Amino acid sequence: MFSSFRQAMAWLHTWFGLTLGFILMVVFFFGTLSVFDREIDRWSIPETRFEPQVMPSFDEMLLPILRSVEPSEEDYNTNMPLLHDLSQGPMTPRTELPADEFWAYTTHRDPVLIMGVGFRVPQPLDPEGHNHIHGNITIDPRTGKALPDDQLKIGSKFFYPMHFSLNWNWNRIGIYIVGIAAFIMMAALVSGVIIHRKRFREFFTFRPNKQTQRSVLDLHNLTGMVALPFHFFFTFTGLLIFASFFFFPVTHTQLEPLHKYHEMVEANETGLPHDRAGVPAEMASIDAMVAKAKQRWAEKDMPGEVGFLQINHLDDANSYVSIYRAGSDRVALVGEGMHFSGTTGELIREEPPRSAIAETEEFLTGLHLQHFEHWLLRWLYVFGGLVGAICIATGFIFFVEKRKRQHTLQGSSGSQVVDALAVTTVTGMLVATVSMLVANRLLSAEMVGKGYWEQVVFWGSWSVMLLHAFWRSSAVRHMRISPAWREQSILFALLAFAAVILNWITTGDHLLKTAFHYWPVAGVDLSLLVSSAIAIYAARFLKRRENVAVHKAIEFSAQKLEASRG
Amino acid sequence: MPNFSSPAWPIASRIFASLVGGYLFTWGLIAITIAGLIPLGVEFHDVEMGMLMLGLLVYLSLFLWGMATDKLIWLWLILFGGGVAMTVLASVVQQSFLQGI
Repeated sequence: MFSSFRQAMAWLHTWFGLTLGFILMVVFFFGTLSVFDREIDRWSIPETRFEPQVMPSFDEMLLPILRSVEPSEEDYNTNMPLLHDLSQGPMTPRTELPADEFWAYTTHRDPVLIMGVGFRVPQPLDPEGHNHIHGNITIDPRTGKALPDDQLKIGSKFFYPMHFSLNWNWNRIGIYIVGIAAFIMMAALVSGVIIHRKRFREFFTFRPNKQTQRSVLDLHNLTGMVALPFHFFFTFTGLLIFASFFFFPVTHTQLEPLHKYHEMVEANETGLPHDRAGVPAEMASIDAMVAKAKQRWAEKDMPGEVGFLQINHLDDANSYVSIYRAGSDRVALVGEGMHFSGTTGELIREEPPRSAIAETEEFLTGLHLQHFEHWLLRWLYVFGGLVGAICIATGFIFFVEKRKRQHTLQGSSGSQVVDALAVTTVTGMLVATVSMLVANRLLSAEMVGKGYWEQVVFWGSWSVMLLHAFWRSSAVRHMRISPAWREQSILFALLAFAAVILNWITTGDHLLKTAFHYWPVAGVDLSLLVSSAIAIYAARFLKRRENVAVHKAIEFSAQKLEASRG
Repeated sequence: MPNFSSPAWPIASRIFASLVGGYLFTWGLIAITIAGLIPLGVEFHDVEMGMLMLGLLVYLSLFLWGMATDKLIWLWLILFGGGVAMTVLASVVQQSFLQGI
């Protein structure tokens, strides 16, 4: 069917890249924003604008709070009927479920403390399963005061999951769509290199003043090639993070019996009880265990703070407490876990040195998840992510520029549709993002369901941008540039500027203040202003190009007219 | 009745075989390697993680090969035949190992 391997690769690159490129655009852009998700959280929830804290006293502050947490109604209503065995009696009422697991998590960029409780289902359908109904809480670690759960953490709870699930959670379909898109991204990278391998020089050529089709292809090749290792690496590790649960769940389905067997062997080896004993017991001091863990880390020449703490089999003779080190000073996601008996406080197990494969995997996924504290590297990620977005966007524009003349002559609307979708996923997505931030500042913090309305604004404004892009796309059919690109750029610039001003008006935090005292907010404001300026420049540039294109379109029509007259 | 002589048919068959067949083959390869190495005493999560890393690259190579090869029959036979064979074998190995302990 294809006359050569190269031709097959070109076909794959064009058509798979086109169909899944729109998803990839979303993944790359929101993945880039995720580098600073916690900073965006601070911007969007002004009550949380304070410095990150170390984990407070567990016994005095956190334990009483955790004891007061209730199971989430939503989780109960969805999962309780699935987990409970009706033949043993009616479902235990929500507020009477016994707590089985407590956890608390903090990072170097998060001033708030996230905690949660796993509640046990007393009569489970599958006694071997993970029978938990959850209840989470976010607190101010300085006072122990609960922060309203209703406010959406736009960075870590909307933009971040957007990049791996599109926030489409029905049957986890978003994760699978992103997975397929990521797989195709790897294939597009390899096939892209193969298509151009004979003319290696092309990868590093950029001729901005040539005609659009030429310079766009140059930019596509350049951005694809310069950041090739970055793109491949992030796509690969992104897939790897989800592989064992979603993409190749071999050990959770077909080989589940082998997995269960391994867990039992492991529980025997580690001495960490797999199940509850069923004998109630008092818990020993958790703070004393924390002190011991810190002492052991210091002895191993890696002093540090607690990042994650979990109490398993709570209030049971088999309870144990796992304490992990905050890993923000290294790339690999290592916790140097220490496990203590919950009733005696004795150290039961210290995690042994890892195998080479485990180390490789922790390093790879750690590089993707970037929990580390290294600002230059974080900004390099942003740069790499944006370069990836440019590579995908120029791919669309090249597709349109290459075919629009032919499509016009054939009366096909292919280029027009692709161009409108490209507008929607490039400038339209930017408009939706800043619209959400503007809505966040305009809606009152006390408003019931504020987070819901912020999401309505996001999806609503994106849909309007889609309609606008299609409405203005007829220009492409006449060999011109769709004015939607320019108009949405201007809209974005105005909204981004408005977001910064609204932040100042509603919180009193302006740049001159935050630049000296609070970088998380200053960084978001500055990024918005710089993006706004770039969008204005882009709009002016597009205006010039549109004028040139109009002249060309007139020439083209004249030629067509002459040709038809023979 | 689908029109098999339509130009869309070979490309649809190729895409299906490369994507789905490639997936099945990779699944089988991961399953048989894990099921085969655990009885030999290799650490569970090491095999799993190692095979997931390798599996992603194998799947990518199979997909690219599938999109380019002239031998569509072989593509179908190797990917689906090999995939099913390895998957079934993995279950058999798992069962005999767990029964033996």
